[in-house]
Amino acid sequence: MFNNGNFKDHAETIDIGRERIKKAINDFKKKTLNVLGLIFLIIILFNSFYILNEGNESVIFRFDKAVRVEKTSGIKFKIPIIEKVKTVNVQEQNVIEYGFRTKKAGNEFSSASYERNKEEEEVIVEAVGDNSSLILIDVVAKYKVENPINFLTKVDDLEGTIRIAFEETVREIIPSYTVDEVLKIKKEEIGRKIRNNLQEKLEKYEAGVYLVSTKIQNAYLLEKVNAAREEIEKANQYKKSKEEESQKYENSVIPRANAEANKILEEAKGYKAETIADARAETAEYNAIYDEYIKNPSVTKEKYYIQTMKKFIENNNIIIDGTENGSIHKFFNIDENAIKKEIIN
Amino acid sequence: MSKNIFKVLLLVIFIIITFGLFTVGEDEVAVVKTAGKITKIVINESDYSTVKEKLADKDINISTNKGLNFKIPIVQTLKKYSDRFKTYISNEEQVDVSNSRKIDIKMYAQYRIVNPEQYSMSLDSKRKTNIIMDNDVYPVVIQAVNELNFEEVFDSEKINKAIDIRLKELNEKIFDNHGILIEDIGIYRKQFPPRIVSSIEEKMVQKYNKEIEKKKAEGDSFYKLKVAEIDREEKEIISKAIEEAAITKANADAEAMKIYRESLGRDLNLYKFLQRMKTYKKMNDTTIFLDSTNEFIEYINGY
Repeated sequence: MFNNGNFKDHAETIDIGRERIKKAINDFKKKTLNVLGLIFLIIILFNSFYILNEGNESVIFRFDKAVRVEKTSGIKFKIPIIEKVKTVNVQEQNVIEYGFRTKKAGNEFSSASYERNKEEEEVIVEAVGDNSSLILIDVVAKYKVENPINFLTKVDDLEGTIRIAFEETVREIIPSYTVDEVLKIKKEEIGRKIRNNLQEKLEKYEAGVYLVSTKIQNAYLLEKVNAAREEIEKANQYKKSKEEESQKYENSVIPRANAEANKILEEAKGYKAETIADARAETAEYNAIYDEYIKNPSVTKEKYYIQTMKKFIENNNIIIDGTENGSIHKFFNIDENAIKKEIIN
Repeated sequence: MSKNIFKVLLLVIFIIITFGLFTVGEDEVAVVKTAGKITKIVINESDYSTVKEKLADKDINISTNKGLNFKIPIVQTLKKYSDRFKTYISNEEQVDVSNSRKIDIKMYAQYRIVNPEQYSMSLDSKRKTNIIMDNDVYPVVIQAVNELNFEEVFDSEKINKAIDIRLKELNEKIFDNHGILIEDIGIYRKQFPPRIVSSIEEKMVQKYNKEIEKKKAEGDSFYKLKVAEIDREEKEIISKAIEEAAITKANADAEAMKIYRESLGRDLNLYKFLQRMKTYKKMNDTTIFLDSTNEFIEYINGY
């Protein structure tokens, strides 16, 4: 079929083709390797640095072991692939709510809405002295990350752990206070104690957080109890009104009594002045007559008598009874006894 | 030839990297088994002395080297566990305290894996760990509460002391048997049983009602006392004035009598005469009946 010369040419053609394919494959391999190498270099390059923002700290893990913490912001370098970075915001204040949960945060268009957690809210108070009572309390704690390595590696469910420690602390501290102390008098002190005890506990767990503040958001009584407590205020007002009423009574009665007393005393003084003046007036008249009388008693007396009788006769009706049996009274139709009675009276 | 050796070398390196190298994270502990036998553990540096003491009689390599580690590929196997603090929470339980009162409690325990060697043999899972917590840890707290009275349960010093006494023994047992350490244990929720809440509420209402009545009674009592006091003071003021007035009047009478006595005492008959004459002078428009024996007739007759 093939003569020897044609067969040889054909074989050469096949060999050349094989060479060409081989060369093309090798070229492709080289190019692919080059491209892959380039991509790898780019990945390495981009994996070698990162940007650390202000307020954040980054923990670098080399083969999953924490080796350092970057605290200052800027462009940071790391060993590509074998070092990994986890960034933590150390300025943000995280909020843990006790007794309630914020359903929707407030904004410029609407107010916040909350959901009460009844089981958390009900806390025993005044446990000492067998006077234990119940109070409803809402507390808010704010914390920041203090140690990023601990924060990332020490506690399995940090928020859950903080929540349990929070509740334990609240229920540990509140029972040693009275209802009034929790409701108003010692809210700040209680908040501080909760904060300090909770911080101690979290340090025990090496949680790596710092409690910025703990505040009692709200404390109130069960509904019926609250209504009864409000009545106390009314009772206080009643007591005060009674005190004022008694003061008013005092302000009206005592001045009146003093005025009455003064009147009695002034009347007595008036009586004194009048009595003595009358006595002096009478004795003065007597003394004047006496001085004359002592000079010539019979003449003075007689003169006085005549003057008096003259006036007496002028001013009155004199009837001389010349009858023998006193029957003049019958003539005038006058009862003798009645006259005597009138004279006696 | 050299190409083949290079390829074999690459393959070996690949196998070593893939199957031989492993990392133990900052929050992990690890167990390395060689043909099923634990030959190496990687633990926290802070737990080294505790674990070493426990494994003193065992031929186990205890390493605290977190990060990159090596094992013989295929022959050695690796198991890692998180050594973070984990939380166990109990169900709510009603407990009797020593003075026959009841209280609903929920307890917790914070634990971590310290000895992964023991843990991997004994528990190896969170589910089994929780069973141990239920069976061993939970009763410790209940017993502590049973021994205290109601007030003492709320005294953190007393309740913690009661639990701590038991915790040390418990930890020894749990560490020996399961390789875990309980770092903290306590009661995070203490409440009145629900059926008692209404009676507590009623008691509080009654307490306030008593206070209300007391304040009202205090107000009324204060008012009555004050009014009685004021009335008494009023009477005293007036009585004193009456007394003083009587004394003044009596003194005035006495002084008048003295004046009369000093003057009229010189001739009382003259005074009587003058008074009679005054009486006669005052009489006006009166009809006088005289009988014929009256001495006045002498006057009319002109002596």
